[in-house]
Amino acid sequence: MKGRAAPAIHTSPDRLLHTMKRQPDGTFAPIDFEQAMDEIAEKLSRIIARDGPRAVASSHGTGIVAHSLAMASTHSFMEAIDSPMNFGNESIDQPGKSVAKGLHGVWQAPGNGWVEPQVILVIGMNPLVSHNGFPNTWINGRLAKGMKLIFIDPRRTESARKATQFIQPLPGHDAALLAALCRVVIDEKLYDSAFVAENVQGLAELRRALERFTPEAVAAAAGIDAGELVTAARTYASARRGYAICGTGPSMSGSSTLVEYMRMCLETLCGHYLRQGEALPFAGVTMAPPPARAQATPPFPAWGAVFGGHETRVRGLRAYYAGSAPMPTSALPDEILMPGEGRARALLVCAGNPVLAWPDQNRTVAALKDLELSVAIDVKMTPSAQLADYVIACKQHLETPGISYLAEGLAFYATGVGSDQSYGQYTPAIVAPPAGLQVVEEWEVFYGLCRRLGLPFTLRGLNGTAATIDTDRKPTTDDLLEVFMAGSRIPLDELKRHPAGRCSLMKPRARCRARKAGPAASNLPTPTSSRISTPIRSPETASARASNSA
Amino acid sequence: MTLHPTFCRICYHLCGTVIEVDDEGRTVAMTGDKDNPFSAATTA
Repeated sequence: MKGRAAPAIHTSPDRLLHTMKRQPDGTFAPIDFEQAMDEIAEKLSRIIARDGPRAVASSHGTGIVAHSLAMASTHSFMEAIDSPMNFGNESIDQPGKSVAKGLHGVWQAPGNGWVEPQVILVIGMNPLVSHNGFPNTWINGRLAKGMKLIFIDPRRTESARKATQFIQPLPGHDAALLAALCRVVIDEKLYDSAFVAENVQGLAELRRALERFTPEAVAAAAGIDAGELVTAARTYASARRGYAICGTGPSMSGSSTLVEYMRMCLETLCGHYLRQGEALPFAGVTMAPPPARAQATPPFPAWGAVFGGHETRVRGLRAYYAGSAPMPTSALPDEILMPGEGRARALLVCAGNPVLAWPDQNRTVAALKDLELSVAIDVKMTPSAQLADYVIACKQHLETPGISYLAEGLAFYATGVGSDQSYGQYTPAIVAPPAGLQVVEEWEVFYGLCRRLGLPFTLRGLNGTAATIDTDRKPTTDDLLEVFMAGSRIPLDELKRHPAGRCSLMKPRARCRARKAGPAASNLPTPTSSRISTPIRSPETASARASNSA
Repeated sequence: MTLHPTFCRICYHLCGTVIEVDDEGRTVAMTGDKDNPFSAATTA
């Protein structure tokens, strides 16, 4: 159950009523929040003094979306103590979406399918239920106007019933299916040749890599007909405007990076991006106007030195290009369990449930039990919280103010998620926590720890600003939201004046800008040319390929 | 009983919602906000 269960979640008997501390006999007893914070700060201080800041790790789960400041304040704390051990859900639920961007390169403007798409290709996603993939508000209207809707899914979902073409392969073939689509698009010359000529390198190399992915071979392995793939490729590539999107299934599969990479190849071949002069579907409300430019950013390192060069001690995994936290969560249990210098000894879990979410449950449980200090910041006593030393009881989302920046930011993350228009909202807290509860917001934990450790609490905003918050005079959530939104197109005060905090800018003035002269303008690392690359071009992959063939 | 337009924060889509709050300040119901231009009464 999701949002419709909000009232039940707020009044649930499972709700944590106050902060809890594990007792010597293993049971939990209530403890005053400030007292718990004093004890946690003292223990953190001791661990950092003995083992260095790396011994303190943080991990956030998907619950952070409930509170606008939860993730940013986690990062503020980690930055203050100078620990690189910053983990999150993104590296286990959709790492491919970020990594593939580095391997392929990106277009510096959104996809062109947000406005009046002629085709949508949905792979492993159920938009009518999840709202991921397309806005339910306009799908029927688009279909009535003749838009093609192709679903590829092992399961005939509720959404798939709306498909103009439904392909039902065996699970696990998404990368090969996309490869076959790309092959047909190249062989039948259905791709946008002008766009490819101007912006893409490596087309011939890509075609060579696709040699064995004939529609016949891929279809036979996936249990479908080759003709279905040919039809889908022709439908998709013949549309001037459209987008392809992969959901949770492909993102959590073993080859999620390759799937996402092949999706980007298909998108790039078809030139499904906004061009110079086209109006942007969204223009920023809680965020600054997007720096959209009709220009390719070439491949950039998706992991490694440019992200601080931080490595895990196990398997040599490196910090990577991620929207949220840069360290790979799959390594964290071993980082805790493996003896030696740099071992993680304290863990702060914010709105996450490692026992249920991380790979290898047995090892995760062993790791959580092995910690010297384990703090869970949550709204209920999850299986992970039951293994913690302290469980900090938090407010539910309707008990806190918030802004809708996530939906806005996601519109750049992938076409098909987030807001399809210039829309933003501020909400005040709707209800107070029930009487008698001692509950806090996540940011209060990280702010309070910085204050106790005598460290600055620097909040990094949505638009690139950083402000150090006074730790002598505690701010309100609204104070922090104002700092967080600094540089936004619509200031927080103005947003609050709109009815119910809803701000919708009907006419986005922003348009996709022209290519910039000289090297590709980007805040991403080390552009080497100004073209998107279809074959994967990273030193790691190249050497892996060489050693495989040797 | 009062009605409060807001948005849902259970997942990142942030569908517009209206929360019904009873006289004791408890949330009792949630419906989609038909005036929300982004989600128009629908919820994930």
